[in-house]
Amino acid sequence: MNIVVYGHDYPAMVTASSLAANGNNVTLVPMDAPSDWQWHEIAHRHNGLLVLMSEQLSAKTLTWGQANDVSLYANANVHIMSLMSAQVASCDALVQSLASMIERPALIVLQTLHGVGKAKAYQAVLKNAMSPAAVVVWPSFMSEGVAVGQFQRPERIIIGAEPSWAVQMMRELVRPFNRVQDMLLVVSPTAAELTKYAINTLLALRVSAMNEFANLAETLDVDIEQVRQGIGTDPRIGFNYLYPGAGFGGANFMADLHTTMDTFTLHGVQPRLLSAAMAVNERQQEVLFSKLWQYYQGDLVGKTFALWGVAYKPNATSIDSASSLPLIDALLSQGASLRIHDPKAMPALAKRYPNHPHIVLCQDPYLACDASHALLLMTEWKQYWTPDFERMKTLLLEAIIFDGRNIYDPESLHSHGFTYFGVGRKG
Amino acid sequence: MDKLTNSPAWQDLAEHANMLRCMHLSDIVKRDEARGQRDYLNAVSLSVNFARQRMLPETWQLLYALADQQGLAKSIEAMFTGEAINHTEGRAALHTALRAELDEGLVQDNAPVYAQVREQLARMEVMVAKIRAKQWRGFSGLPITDVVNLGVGGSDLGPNLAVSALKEGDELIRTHYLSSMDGAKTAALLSQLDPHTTLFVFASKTFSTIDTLANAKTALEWLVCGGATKALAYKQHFIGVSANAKKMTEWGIHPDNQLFFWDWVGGRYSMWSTIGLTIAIALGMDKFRAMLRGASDMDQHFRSSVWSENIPVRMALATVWNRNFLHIHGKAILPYDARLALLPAYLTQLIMESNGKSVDIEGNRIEYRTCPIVWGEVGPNAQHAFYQLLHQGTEVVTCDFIAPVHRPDIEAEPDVPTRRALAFQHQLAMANLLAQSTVLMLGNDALKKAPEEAYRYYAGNQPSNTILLKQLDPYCLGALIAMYEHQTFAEAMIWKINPFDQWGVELGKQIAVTTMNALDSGDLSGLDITTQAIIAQWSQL
Repeated sequence: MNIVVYGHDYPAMVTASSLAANGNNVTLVPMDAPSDWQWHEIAHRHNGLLVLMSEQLSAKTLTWGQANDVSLYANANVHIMSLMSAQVASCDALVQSLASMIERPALIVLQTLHGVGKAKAYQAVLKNAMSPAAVVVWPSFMSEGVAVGQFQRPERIIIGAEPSWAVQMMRELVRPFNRVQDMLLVVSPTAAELTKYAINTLLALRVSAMNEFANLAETLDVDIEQVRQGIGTDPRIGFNYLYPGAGFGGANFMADLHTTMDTFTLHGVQPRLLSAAMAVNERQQEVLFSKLWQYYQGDLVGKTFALWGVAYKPNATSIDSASSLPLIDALLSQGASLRIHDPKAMPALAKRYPNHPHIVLCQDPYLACDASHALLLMTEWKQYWTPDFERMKTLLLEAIIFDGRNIYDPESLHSHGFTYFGVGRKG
Repeated sequence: MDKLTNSPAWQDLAEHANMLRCMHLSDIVKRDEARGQRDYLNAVSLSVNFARQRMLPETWQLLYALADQQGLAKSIEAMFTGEAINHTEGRAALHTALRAELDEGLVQDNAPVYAQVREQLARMEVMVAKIRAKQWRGFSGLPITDVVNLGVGGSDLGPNLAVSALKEGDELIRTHYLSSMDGAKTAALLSQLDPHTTLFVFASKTFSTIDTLANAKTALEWLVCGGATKALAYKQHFIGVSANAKKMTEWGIHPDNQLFFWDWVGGRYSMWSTIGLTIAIALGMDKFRAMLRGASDMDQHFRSSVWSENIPVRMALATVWNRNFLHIHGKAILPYDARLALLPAYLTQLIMESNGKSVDIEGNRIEYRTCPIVWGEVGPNAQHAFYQLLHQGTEVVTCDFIAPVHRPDIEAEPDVPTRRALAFQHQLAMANLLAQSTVLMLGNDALKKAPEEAYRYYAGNQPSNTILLKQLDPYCLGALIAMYEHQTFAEAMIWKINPFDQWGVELGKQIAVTTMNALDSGDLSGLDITTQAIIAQWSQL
């Protein structure tokens, strides 16, 4: 098939190169890409993407398209909107211009969603322009870092499509990724949109519920880790998304949750559960700050803290809507200084706090500990799991660890002579 | 000093009033069609119409002569330049300096006024920014979400009025007000707040006001019961605002959390000082500064306008005319906007605590009437309450009808049918404002044919001012309140009384201490017999 993918972030690249690798003729149009945008800089942060992209580009199954001339693509069979949440205006404009140009049955596929009901609205745009094209919703479930694997071996494929020819075309498009067993679920476009938002909402509810229990466990002198293991054994619940910690974040996830809230409000329904989960999360993002504040009796002026991990999750480079940000801002507001390490998110952090007099960016995690009053851990990167505790003890002014992800064992830290604070467990 | 009532300007007015008392306002208006346009002033986003006063053009001239005779211009300059015009306490009254945009080089108690004011505003701004950024933390590290203003009188009414009049939609920080000593409201409010996230603003000029101390003590106990250590409760949950730094420190307010104002700011004139902290927390510093600008522009207007163009002066002269020459005892404050519900309470304090005096500045008992009885209510509510008395009672009352002309809040309503419905309500309120003041003015003459039954009789002939604000925003509210401050001051200067002291509230406090001691000890013998009787009767309930 002749496919055009619109977008300049990793979901667009993963989608375009994976489809190209399966015999399609794919054009990738980097809509709204910033002037200093370099595709390989993004590709190299995701396992397997750089190789995949390079192969398809040299095989010419994948080519670059111009963003400023959509008419070039009027003959394609499939147009995939793989834009970011913030690019809703671009998406609207793109659909408008495609509507006036597409003259044969073709698909406009919404991979990134911009609210419930958008597909329906776009279908109306097409109808007005008397275009024979159909709008299809194909929500993506890719996460940063591991997106290629998730795209090519999906756990589910949800397709929101109405006319049978459109369903047929989508089946054909995803056939190479749907081989072991049929993962395809066909629903209405609006149902597909709502499904995606409902999934994210339920994940948020689970995490916030666990965090509330964690805070209770702490006051009951119970280790939430034991409770988590017990809960997970119930097959109706399972083990996923039960980890208590310093809150959830991430640009796309948070944007989706806010869109969900807006959708509720727009249709006159109160999102009671989701707003409660969001409120719990807002507090939870500052859980380490509260522990720190109480430990130092509200006197943080002039103290320095080592902070490990600022990305919104391991393997991510982004700090947008990350839990680490409210913590950093709170500490800076109280007159504390920070020595920060993160394996991949340092450039993003440097951009957010340019030349900040109270932030030192450290290339080495141990350097961050040097002359700091305590260590705070916010993102559970693999390299932080078993550090050299003895070395850390010589570097830190006091042997104290505030563990926002419960990755350390309190007992073993005590044996190393550390004072330990986790989430939902006694120190 | 010669008696005011024997002075030439007073005598001229008295003679003029003898003639005018025979004329009904309805006739005055009928014979003077130009008065609607003529007796009207527009300045500092306020428009005030005096056409419904029982006055002729020459009445105003005689009143201007009275103002000249009483040296009003000199008194105004004395106030603005920091003379110790509050002679019973030996102080200046420089609330105008709190909002001055330029440094006039004033010095009080050997310190530069302007620099001190700026310094305290800057300190206040830092606190406000931290609180509104949700970075002011409670004892457990959670951000403050609720602020309780502990203060009474000027330390309560100003912030409460400004915030209730100007807050819109979602509040970043919720504010609450505890003033009275009884603690009944304190218990109910605290039960709804979270000690982890509540900050108290302890506002008291002297820091010895028993009402506020009692509420603060309860607040402190509540915080400690809620899990705070004493040290963190003081450090993170109390900001002190006072003219008495020593007392603040003694009570336990952390030095970083002390904001100051000065002896030369009267309590009921203090919302422009750091007492406005709660206003700035609720609305943001920009809006607080806009309020100061509105007041400052009114200051300039008052200080520089000739009497005929001067809104506060003409308001004051109308009071004197109504009070001393038409013998009207009551004044009602009637805002036709529910957001101004606290304005009557605020003005009750401002006007009656300032001018409820019967000794002149030389210490002589005075033989003319001074401050009228001031009260009020949101106009449309009062229409269902005391307007009966206004229209058909045996007391004549003067009224201030107050309303904003524009309602940006309605224009911003996104939903069209709701917007239309709200616009209709605004017009309904304005129509009622105009109708009520018309009936008070004309009485039955408002009708083509008067009904015959006596109980349908409306005497009319009751004067009123119509005061319109461009809109209810911080700037206009600042201008409106400064207008009333200066009106009150100008009245006092004509009456030759000191509007800046309040000795009348002292004796009761003193006797309360004796009474409290008697109740504590159980020995009531020192109390008067009626007090003893009332206390004895408690046991019967």
